[in-house]
Amino acid sequence: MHADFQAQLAFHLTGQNLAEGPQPVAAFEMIPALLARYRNLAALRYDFPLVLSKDGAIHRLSTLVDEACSGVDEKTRKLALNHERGIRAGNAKAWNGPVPLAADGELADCDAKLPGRLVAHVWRALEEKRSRAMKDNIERLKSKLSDILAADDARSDEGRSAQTLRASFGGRDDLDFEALSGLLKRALPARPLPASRKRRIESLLKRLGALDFGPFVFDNCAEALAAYRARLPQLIALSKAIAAARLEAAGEYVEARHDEFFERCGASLLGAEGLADFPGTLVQLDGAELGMAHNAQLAEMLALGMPVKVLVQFDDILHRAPVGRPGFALRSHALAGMALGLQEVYVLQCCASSLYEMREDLRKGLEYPGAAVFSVFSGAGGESGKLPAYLVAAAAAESRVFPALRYDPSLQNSERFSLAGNPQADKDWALRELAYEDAKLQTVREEVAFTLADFAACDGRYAGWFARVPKERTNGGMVPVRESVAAPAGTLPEKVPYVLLADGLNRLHKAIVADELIGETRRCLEFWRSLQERVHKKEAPVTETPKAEAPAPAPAPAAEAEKPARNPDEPSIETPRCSTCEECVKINNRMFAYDANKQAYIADLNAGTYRELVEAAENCQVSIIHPGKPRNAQEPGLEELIARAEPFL
Amino acid sequence: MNDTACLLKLYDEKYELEDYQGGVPRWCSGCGDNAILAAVQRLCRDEALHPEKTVFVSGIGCSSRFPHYMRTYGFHGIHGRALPVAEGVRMARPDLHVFVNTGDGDCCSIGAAHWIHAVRYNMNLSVFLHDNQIYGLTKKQASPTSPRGTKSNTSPRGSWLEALNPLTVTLGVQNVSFVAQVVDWMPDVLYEVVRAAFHHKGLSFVRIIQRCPEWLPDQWEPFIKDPKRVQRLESSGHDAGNLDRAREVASKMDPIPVGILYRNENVPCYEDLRRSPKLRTPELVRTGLEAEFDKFTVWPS
Repeated sequence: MHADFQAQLAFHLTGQNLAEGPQPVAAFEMIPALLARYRNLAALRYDFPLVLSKDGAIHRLSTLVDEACSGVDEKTRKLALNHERGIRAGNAKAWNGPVPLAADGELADCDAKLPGRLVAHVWRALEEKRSRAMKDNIERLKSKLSDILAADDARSDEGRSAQTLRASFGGRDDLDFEALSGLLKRALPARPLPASRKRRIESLLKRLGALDFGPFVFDNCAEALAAYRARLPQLIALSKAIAAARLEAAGEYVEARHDEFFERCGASLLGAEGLADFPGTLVQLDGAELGMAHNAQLAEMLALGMPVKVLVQFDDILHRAPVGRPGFALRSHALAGMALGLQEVYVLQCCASSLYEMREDLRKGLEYPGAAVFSVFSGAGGESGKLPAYLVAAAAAESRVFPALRYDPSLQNSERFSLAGNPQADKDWALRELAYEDAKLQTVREEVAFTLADFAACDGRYAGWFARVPKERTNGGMVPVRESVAAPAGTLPEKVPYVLLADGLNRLHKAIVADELIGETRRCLEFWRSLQERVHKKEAPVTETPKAEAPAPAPAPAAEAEKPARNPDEPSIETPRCSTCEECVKINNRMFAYDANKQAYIADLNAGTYRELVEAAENCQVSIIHPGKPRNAQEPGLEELIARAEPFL
Repeated sequence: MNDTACLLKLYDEKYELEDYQGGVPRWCSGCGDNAILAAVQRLCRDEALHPEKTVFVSGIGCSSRFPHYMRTYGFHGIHGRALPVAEGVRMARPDLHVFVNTGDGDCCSIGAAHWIHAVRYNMNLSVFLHDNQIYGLTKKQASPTSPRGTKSNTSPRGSWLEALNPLTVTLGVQNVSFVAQVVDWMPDVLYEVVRAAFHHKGLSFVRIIQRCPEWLPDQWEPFIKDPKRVQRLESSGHDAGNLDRAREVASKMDPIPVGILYRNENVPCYEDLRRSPKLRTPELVRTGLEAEFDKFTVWPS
């Protein structure tokens, strides 16, 4: 037993097989045990194929079939399901089943073309909608401006001439158009549009027509940037024309102010929100070609704030870095880090297998007014033998090698970053139950983590990192990879890590894993944990909500108390209560006047008599005039007036 | 509003109250219409409404002289038909701010049918019902809202019928979206409610209880003298989203409930439901007309 352990440890540490040691695993000989039951995807009803309908919507074929089959008899349902299975197996290219489906469109399976097709499909539909809105908006403005010119023409001498009037009545002769013309000319004074305004409107009408609606689709950043730069002056000119036309149509264009404004303003009129109304740009990149030069162009394009949507497709995420440290290049991690660092860029990363599930996030990203990056792993590259791309992509998501993440700058700070698209996102690894039969044909259930080591076992290039241990040589010195990864790195392992693999006959094997792959698995886990920390970091301020303060004491009546008490001897008006009833100002409009809110105040006490003050108090509908004591002791009838003023003091 | 609009907004004009003052009001001294006029002019100034983009539509009666006193567009219409005219304006010119000033006779008697259906259509209008409970312009005849027992030229022994309550009627119509009541002698509340009505999307119906110092001088005196007989809904914790509760509150008249009784922003506006996405260009109109004419054209054989 000791010798067996030594041989296994030697393989683990060196990756080299010794004679009498564990048996080598040939490429494509085995796959991870958890994937064994999904070998024949055609027999399963899963998300794919998708139906991309013309309105930009995405449907699952299975959902459409289920909806179409609700209420039909069992025989028809089975026929429909058979036909669906035939499509999934590649025997049929289009739906020709016994029931019509609610949506029609292209079928899209999970293959190398899927990310590009799907993103372009949704993007095109949104672009069409946006272009239509923009065109309508421009047409509406042109129509309003044309109306202004038409109204001016109709009011001109020519417009009111007998000849024009006759033509507008379809050439009738039973009316005296000369008389009508004379009548109109007398009734409506000719007030033509100022020449400058007419010229401006005509010029705006010309400028509003010029816009190229694309589509602007590129496969490299340099071309996209060059095209955008070339288009920018046109966008600025058009946005100026739209802003000026809006003012003109509303009759709010003031030459003295706006002429200079429009002459001087430039790209400032094109804020991100304004730019989002114009046709956007789609750039589709191959992740394998993302080198230093491409990265710089991509970063520049994203940082510019142009409304560009970038799809970076990775087909192979396990290729080795040609230079630098050994191990996987994992360019997708670098891309995600760069895009997240820009703060204002919408970022969506997911595997092609999850694209349907994350379609709303995809749509939001494409609708986001600024730049957006979509990083998608297709699963169709690499060397995975007969494993379908869907399974490889799903395995990448499951193993945290290509985790799903979404960063939406338009949301609140605590909600921007999300890992919600990952299985068991709060754990290090997604744990799944593996059920198998032991030698005594009894069901055994075991909880298994799907790690990067399991994912690498799908790839024929790395078969050499695995060595099968025959059953009779298994011993207590082996641990699952997840436990080995949890141990601190750099120390001599006491136990050898293994993964569970299944061969072509679905027999379960334990295969020990080379240390180099364990190192990569640890690195993958560190990256995943950094993403988890990012989620928790955002949540921190939310959890640390300040303690609920004791209810603020009721506002003390200090303000009331501080208000100087009204002196009953001085005449006054409670202006805020004045209901503008006109009584006082009609008695004496020099003594009483209205303030800016059209409420009365005493403007000049000397402008009237005490009698007028008392009469105003008596007539005030809301009794807010207080006449006070008389100022002129010589005024006749004072005794009577003082008595009348008494109730209003 | 996008960035461009914000940028251009900097150039907006500032208005003063005088910019909205039209002719000199001919209402009697002490008339509540003056208070309503002042509140509406304040609203126009504070919201910087362009006078050329604002329309006041009225019917017939003391209150309906309102458009003459505003320096904006106005339509002094025919008796009871202020609302249909306003709806037409609204439909044809969605860019205008449309206000309706109507009286208790104009709205609740001859114009009652239009009133009911205007509430149901819920077009984006601010409707101010100047309710002085009497026909003042024609010198004192009982109106539908005159309380039972009101002595007038048409009811010298006192009116026989219970007064119609404009609030409960409005709250009983489908699609009602904004109902408020206010009294003219509380200028701060009047202004707040008028402002809320203006900002409401849909038909906002505000009953303004107003004094008629000429023909019913003592009608509201007890309420003016005793502030406890006016109940501020805002401070009483009234839930303006509860239609049943609004109807219950609306049926009370002592104390007078003032404030917003009911508000529902989610009721669709008729003009939005009917707005066509198609741009009505002259070509489109011509094509449509020609298609209609072609139906009746007798082609030469």
